[in-house]
Order: sequence, then structure tokens, then C-alpha cells
Amino acid sequence: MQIGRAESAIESAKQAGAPGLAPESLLLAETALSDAQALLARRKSKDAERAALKSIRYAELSASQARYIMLKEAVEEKTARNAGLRRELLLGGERDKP
Amino acid sequence: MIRPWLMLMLVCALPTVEAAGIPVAESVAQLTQEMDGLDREARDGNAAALERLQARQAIERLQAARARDQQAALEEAQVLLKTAEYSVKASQLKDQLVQLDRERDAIMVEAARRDAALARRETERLRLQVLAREEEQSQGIEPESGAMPAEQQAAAASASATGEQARRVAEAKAKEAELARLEEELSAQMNARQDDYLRSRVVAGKTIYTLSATAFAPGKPALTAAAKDVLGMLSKKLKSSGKSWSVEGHLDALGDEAVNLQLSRKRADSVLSVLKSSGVPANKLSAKGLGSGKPVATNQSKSGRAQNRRIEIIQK
Repeated sequence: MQIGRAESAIESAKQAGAPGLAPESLLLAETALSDAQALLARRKSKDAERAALKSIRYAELSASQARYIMLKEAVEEKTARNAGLRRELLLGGERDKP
Repeated sequence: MIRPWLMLMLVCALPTVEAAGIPVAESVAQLTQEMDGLDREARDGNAAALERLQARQAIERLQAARARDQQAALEEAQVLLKTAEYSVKASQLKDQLVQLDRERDAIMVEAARRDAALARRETERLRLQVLAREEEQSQGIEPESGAMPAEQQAAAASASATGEQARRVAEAKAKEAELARLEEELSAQMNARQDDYLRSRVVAGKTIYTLSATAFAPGKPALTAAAKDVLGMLSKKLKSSGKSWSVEGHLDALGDEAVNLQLSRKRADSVLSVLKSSGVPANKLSAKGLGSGKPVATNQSKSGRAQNRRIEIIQK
């Protein structure tokens, strides 16, 4: 049950850009998921559940971190674009149509 | 010699801190302090509320954890706190992005105002030129019969120049109207809220959804991201109704009607495209642009024009 949730949490993190933006926590999530699968194979279901939960936590952390970094970049880009736009407007230079 | 059962009792009696070798009380205090700081940072109280709640609950679990579970509980609390921190910061950045969009809109409004002012001056200048030329012609001596071909040529050239100027005046006026609409749409969008996008009413037993022009990029047929979300939700209703729907684009009477027809059609197509991609069957949808032909309010006022710029999704 938790293993399935961990797998989908990792998938969500990947879709959020974690492989490029938050690789460390994503790796911890994947390692914990592998541990959980190995434990389950050895019929240690309680330990497997715990490892899977750890995987979920790290996957959520990596997704959250990735989203934060993407937003930060977007804010920086928009700030720079607005500054450029204002400069062009004040100087009367060429600019894009809205 | 201590008996095993006595040893077990002693171990159980020891505080969990010593048993696990983790300074739990210290960790809990530090994590709680960080948590409090994070709650203060989430100014409106709603930012990343779930993540913050989860982190706080994890700290409480750490406090109550048995010795053997403390390491895992501490790790979980730290990870959840970090997740909450990123979520709070992300929420603040989203607010910043909205602010930056508003700032950009304000800059563009200012630009549109300047362009409109320039266009107005150019229109006036050209209008005066045309007037001056017309006066010159009316005051001039009528060509005598049997006038020299050279004079006829000059008169023809003069008429041609007047026509050219009239064309330029018309162009400048069209440009001015286009800019005026752009300015109005930018201003409207800056003041728009998401729940302003879509309204519905029932006429003769048939539902009509009206999407305001603030759902589009000013002066363009492209829908904003927020409007696409709204249409995504609407598509579920349209789909479940099983009815056919006509998407009609309307504009105000500013500017050239050919341009209005084109833009209203493109906007209707944009809406149709989103509805289609959100699951409404293509054979249940049609789109057309009606330009300024079917106004619902006066075109003499800003608010009237804003009402006229719309998309109607009409049940067939």
C-alpha cells in the first residue's frame, strides 16, 4: 500500500523537476523505496511500510524543493523582464506588444 | 548481581534521551522554534497550511516517541519541516509572481496610453493636413477649359495625394481604436478577479455562459492560464450535459469591423479548443465570431464596451 504511494510520490517529484533541481532528496526517496521493496520481498512488511513512508517524505521534500526553485527562477526572470520593459518604455525604445 | 528483570525495568525507566543517545528534548525545542518562525512567516495563515500541520504533528510524535523510534521520528520531523519551509517560500513566490504580472500590466497600460496619445496626435496632424489641402483646392482657380495637360496632371497628383492622406488618417484612427481597446482590456484585467470570468444565465430554458474579455491576453486571442482552469472546470459541466454548444465571440465597436470579426472569431476558437481538449466532444461544439454585431450594452462608455467584449457559450 505505502510502496504504491511512494512510487507515485516519486513520479510526482520527477514531474515537478526534481531530477534536475532536487536530486539529493530524490535519490534518498528512491533508495528508501528500494529498501522498502527489498524488505517486502523478505516478508518484513512493517519495516517495508516504514521505509516506504520515509521514501514518501523524501519524495515530497524533493518535489517541494523543485517547485520552490522553479518559482524562484520564474520570479527572477519576470523581475528582470519588467525592469527591461520599464527601461525601454522610459527610454522610448522598441518593445514587444502586450 | 542485578537480575535481568530488574535490568529491564531500569532501562525502561531511563529517559528516552539517554536511551537513544539523541538529545530529543533539545531537538524538539529547536524544531518547535523553527516551526514557530515558519508559522509567523506564513503571514496569511493559509500558506502551506497542510505541510505546516504535518510538520508540527511530526514534532509532537518525536516528543512522544519511544527510544527505538526516536531516530526515525527525528528524521521524519526534520524532513517534514524542510518540506513545509519550501512550501511556504513557494507560496510567497507565487504571490510575488502575481504582483509581477500586475506590475507588467501596469507598465503595458502606461505604454498603451502613450501609444494612444501618439496616435491621437498623428491623427490630428493628418486631419489638419487634409483640411488644409481641401481648403487650398476649394480656394484655387478651377481649371479653365482647354487647360494645359501639365496643369491637369498637377491637379490629378494633388487629388491622389489627398486620397493618400485620407487613407493614412483612416489607418491612424484604426490604430488609435485598437490601442484604446488594448488599454481598456489591460485596465480591466488588472482589476479582474477569477470569479469575474464566467457567469451563467438561463434564457428560454437554455443555459448561456458568458466569459468576459479579461479571460484573454489584452488585445489577443490567447486565453490566460487562470481562464483555462475555469474553462477546464466548465467543460465537465458541458460534457455531462450531453448537449451541443455554440461558442460565439463578440467585441465592442472600437476600430475596424473586419479586425473585430477576426479577433472575435479567434477568441471563440481559443475557447472551443480548450473545451475540446478538456473532454467536450468536438461534434458537440461550434464556434463563430460576430465582431461588434450583437452588443449587450452601449459602445459609448468604457463599462458598456467591457460588457460587449465577451464570449458566449450557448446551449443549442
